[in-house]
Amino acid sequence: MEWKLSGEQESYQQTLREWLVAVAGPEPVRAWFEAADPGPFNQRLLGDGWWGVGVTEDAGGQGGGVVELALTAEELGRAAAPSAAWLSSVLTVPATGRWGDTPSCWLTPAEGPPRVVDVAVDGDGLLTGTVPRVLGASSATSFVVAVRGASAVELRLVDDSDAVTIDLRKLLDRSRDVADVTLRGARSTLLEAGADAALADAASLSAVLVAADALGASQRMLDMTVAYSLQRRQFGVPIGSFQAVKHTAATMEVMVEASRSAVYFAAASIEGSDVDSRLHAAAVKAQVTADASIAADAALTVHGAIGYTWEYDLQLFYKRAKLDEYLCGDPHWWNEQIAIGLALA
Amino acid sequence: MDLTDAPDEAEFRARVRSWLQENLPTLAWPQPEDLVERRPFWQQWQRLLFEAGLAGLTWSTDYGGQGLDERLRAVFGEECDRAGAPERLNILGEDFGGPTIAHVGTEEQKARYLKPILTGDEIWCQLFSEPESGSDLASLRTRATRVDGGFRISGQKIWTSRAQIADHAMLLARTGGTDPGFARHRGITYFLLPMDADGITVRPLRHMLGDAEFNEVFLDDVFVPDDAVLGEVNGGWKVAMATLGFERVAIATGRVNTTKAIADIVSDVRGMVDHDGNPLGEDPRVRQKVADLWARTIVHRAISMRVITGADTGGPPGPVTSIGKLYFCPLVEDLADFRLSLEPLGGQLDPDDELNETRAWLRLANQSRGTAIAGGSTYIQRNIVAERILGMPR
Repeated sequence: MEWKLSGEQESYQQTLREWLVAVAGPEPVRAWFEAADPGPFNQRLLGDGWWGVGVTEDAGGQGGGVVELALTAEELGRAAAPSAAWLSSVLTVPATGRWGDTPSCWLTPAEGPPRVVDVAVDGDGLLTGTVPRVLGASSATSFVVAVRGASAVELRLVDDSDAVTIDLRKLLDRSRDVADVTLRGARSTLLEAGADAALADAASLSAVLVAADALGASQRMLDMTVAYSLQRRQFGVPIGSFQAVKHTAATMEVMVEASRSAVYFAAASIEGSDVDSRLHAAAVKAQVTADASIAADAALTVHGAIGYTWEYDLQLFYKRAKLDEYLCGDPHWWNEQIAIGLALA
Repeated sequence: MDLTDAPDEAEFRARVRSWLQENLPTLAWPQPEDLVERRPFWQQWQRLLFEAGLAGLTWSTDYGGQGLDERLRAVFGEECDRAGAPERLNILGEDFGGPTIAHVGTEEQKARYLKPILTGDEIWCQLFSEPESGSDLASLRTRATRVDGGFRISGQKIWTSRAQIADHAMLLARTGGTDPGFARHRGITYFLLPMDADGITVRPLRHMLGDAEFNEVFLDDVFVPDDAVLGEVNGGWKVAMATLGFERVAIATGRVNTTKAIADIVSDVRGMVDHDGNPLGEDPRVRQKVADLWARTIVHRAISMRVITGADTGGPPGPVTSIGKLYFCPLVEDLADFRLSLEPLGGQLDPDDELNETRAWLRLANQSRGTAIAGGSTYIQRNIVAERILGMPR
């Protein structure tokens, strides 16, 4: 029993953090979202060798496991980097069993984990229907979809861009993107993976990685809050000397460190196929993203009016945390999964 | 990151489990509720542990301990909870006082005090708080005056848990000057005090539920020899902080087993019905609440694992333990409160009511409020986190 990152994991985290500071500071992040184009960031992620860390070499990734994925998600959240394509691609691996250089995504509404959707499939495997609010769809070149086939749920892969329409929606958190995706008789191939297992694995992975993203965003907001409270003076002293502000920051710190403890724990639980790993994933999604949302408001209150402006960067992380609470299933939904898992009734 | 038992953990777990199975039934059950009556019951248990090489797991073998690390101690705690072992009566000696003596004591002090803690012969209490010095501990006024061969101590202590059954106390008293400008933290000395010394009066106080668990302790010109000083004269504040750090580790890693508490709740909910006879486990509100508590116990387990992995064996733990305490205390309150809320009248029957079947939860609900105050209250812990971890101004 050991709760500790390995030396390699620690140095990976550190190097990625430094890379993100250099490449994805608030200015480029804002430029990418003003242009509504996460493409340049995805290219850098791929070109500089971060794309594929945490996916096994067998599947075409660079090795590592769920802990490495969680560390990546955390750092991307800390930077508010445009990571929808990375996340949506990672979540397709349980279905496709492989990792490529181009982004992919599940055709599933982003407010829940990957699920069976209302898309019609005909005898030739042609798909028709619309799936709203698909995470990472604007970058994806292939799509995984779970549909009701003739006899059972089927996983199908769509790579027929001519028959796919992407209507970008505008999120409050502009560092991520969703789009309504319409299929008009799109060609698809049947995937070999078992649908139930792939959906469940993708769901657990989504829970831990969104929680890790929220952890990164709250750590950043805590850092900003402490720094601001030391610099901002009122009544002749730094506001950080007031106990109300100190206790707010301390409460955020408890949330952040509790979240970090739990996110790495759940990642290791999935990696080690613990019997309770699905419940552990549900637990961190529910707890960590709810706490991050509370921490976001605490940070805003300490910052006062400046935190409420468009120019000040707190808004990037505030919106990141608020979306994370609902992305891939809100705490209420995940708690219900725990209740089902505990066989309460 | 590894959530599974390492080979040595699995082996130790198996050994402890079979030992408990064999030895627990030999005790004179039931465990007495009254503190004074519980002492001999517990002593029999502690003696068994000592003879089996299961006392002082993390203590150095030089002092009769087992020289194991915190991981194995956690395994031991889990197995004890699982098997329903007796409540630990000398947490202050085993978890706070002993480690502090091992950390800063002289060889003579270690030889004198440590082993009887492990054998169960001597129980400890902590004489820190005073009527006018709670959160502001450094303002304490109990005075130790130097006399030939030692000190004479006078003053009043309060909220002293288990003083009525304790053999020794960790005592803080003022030895330095009180001039303005003299740092008041620097005028405090840490003493090891025998509770049967002349001039000590212990007066039990009843807590909210009516039990006499803590006490007032009056010190009237009590003599202690020079070798009762732990650490340096006027250097007691640092030693006291080490003790409080050890205390918070014990609290953060779970004096209460939250994993067992939530398992009990889940099992109870499965069998319960609401006022209208519907299964409680179908009530969406109950499902959300149980799930939330279950998830929080997972977070707590992860925090405990982290504190255990990070613990420097033997050394005093840092301010990070405050985070564990701040997470743990409200969790235990909410677990106990929720379980009670499922009972008629919210389980608010007096513990003495004969039909009260949830009095253990009632005690836990109240005890957890006490834990949130003891060892530095919630607000003080937040100050510690803000100042020492986040670097905010004092």
